[in-house]
Amino acid sequence: MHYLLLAISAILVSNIILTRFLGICPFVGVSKSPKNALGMSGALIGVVFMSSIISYAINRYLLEPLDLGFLKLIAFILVIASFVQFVEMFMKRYIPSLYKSLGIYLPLITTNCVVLTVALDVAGTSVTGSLLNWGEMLTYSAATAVGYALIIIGFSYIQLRMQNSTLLPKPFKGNAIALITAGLMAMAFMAFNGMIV
Amino acid sequence: MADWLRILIAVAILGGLIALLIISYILNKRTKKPEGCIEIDEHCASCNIEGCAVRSVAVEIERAQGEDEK
Amino acid sequence: METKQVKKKSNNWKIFSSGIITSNPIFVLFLGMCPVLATTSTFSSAFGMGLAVIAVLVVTNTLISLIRKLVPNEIRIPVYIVIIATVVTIVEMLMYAFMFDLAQTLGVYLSIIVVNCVILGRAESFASKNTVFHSFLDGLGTGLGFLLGVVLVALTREIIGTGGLGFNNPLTGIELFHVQLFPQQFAISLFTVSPGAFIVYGLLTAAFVAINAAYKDRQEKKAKALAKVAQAGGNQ
Repeated sequence: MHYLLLAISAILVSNIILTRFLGICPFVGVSKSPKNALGMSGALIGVVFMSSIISYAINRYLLEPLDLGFLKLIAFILVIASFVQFVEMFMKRYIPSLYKSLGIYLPLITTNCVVLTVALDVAGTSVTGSLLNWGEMLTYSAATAVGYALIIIGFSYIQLRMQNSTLLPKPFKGNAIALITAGLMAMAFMAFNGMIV
Repeated sequence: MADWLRILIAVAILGGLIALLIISYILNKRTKKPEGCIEIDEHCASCNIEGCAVRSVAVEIERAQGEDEK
Repeated sequence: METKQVKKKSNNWKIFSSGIITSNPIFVLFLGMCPVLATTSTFSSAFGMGLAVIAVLVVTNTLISLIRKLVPNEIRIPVYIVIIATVVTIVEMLMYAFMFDLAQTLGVYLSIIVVNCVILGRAESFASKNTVFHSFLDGLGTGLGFLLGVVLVALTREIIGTGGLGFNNPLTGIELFHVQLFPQQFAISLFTVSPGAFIVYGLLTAAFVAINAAYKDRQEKKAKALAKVAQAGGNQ
């Protein structure tokens, strides 16, 4: 039950895009077609899940016992960047079809705020240390990535229809109307605010 | 734990991770892309494609994928 | 000799000012949008975020420009990532030491500066190819453009959202001034929460695009008129 609440909180209540404003760059840039959005979110779920496991392990068993918590940021970004490189290599060699559809998004994921934020969240601050145990950490990172995927795929369907509209004034075309639509989505998701106290 | 030992371990961990990143990056660059892949200018590789100066590549990718869908 | 000096000065000014208006990272390039939405609920936090980004940008641009000849071309990007991560860690620690309230308000968004595309983008497109002084200017200009952008969004959100404007001293966290421009019951509090951020940013972007387009239109008309006059003059 505790894990279910954690998952709902990560997906709906404090959604990583609409409430915490992370991962916005691909959100307004990549999500112009549902196929691209699906590819981007699939790649992201994999990278977030795996790199949060590695970062959590490094922080909990290596950095914290030695009181080296201040190295968290550098260590995590290095782990994430090298993990993405390894994934790209693996896909190039063994799953070329997947690489053709997802390959462009992998370098984008390195500089995506979501991956780094999940890693930093599960590692805690330098004062409190890791707050979550293994089960909670896995639920949290998977749920956050699923929340991101939900929003970006839904948004791509909205963008599809907006692209073909003729009523849009010229200054609003492109990013402006995308941001305003995201604001309306955020308003809708505000309904989940008091769900988990 | 002795202070100098902590510093040594910190340097070792960071050095190891940096070496890991550089080695994986070089290996990745040397692995060939499968055929049929669209070449992206390296300038665009590290950040948001939309914010990149070479927009023609991004437009071409979108068009190619749009045609794939049809 | 004098024309060379004049040219150098205008080139420096162009590098500096392009980061503020023509290549503004927030309204034109749309790099690093996450802190724009997240830290602009109050004017003080937006200002602090802008200061942090200026500090990081200037230092990383200068450092990367210093070592640009020593780094082998193949491993440019990993080296830049390491440098940026180190600089952000140092800036974060300094901010926690000297500006504790501000650092606590900014929270994780201070660490996210590492993956902010403004910094890696400027490093790769400018600092790796230009001299130290030019990179310093470019970092300063882009950082100022970022600061102006976030401050604009924050001012709009705070004034319309709460009806007042306040500013805390970054170093101590004590309120320096607070002005209530109109009674809070008439304020639209939607703008202080998450949807308001998106909507304000979207509207400001549309306004920026419209102003830019109108300016370009006027420049074109002026150029055409000048060309016509020159042609008429030439015909005579």
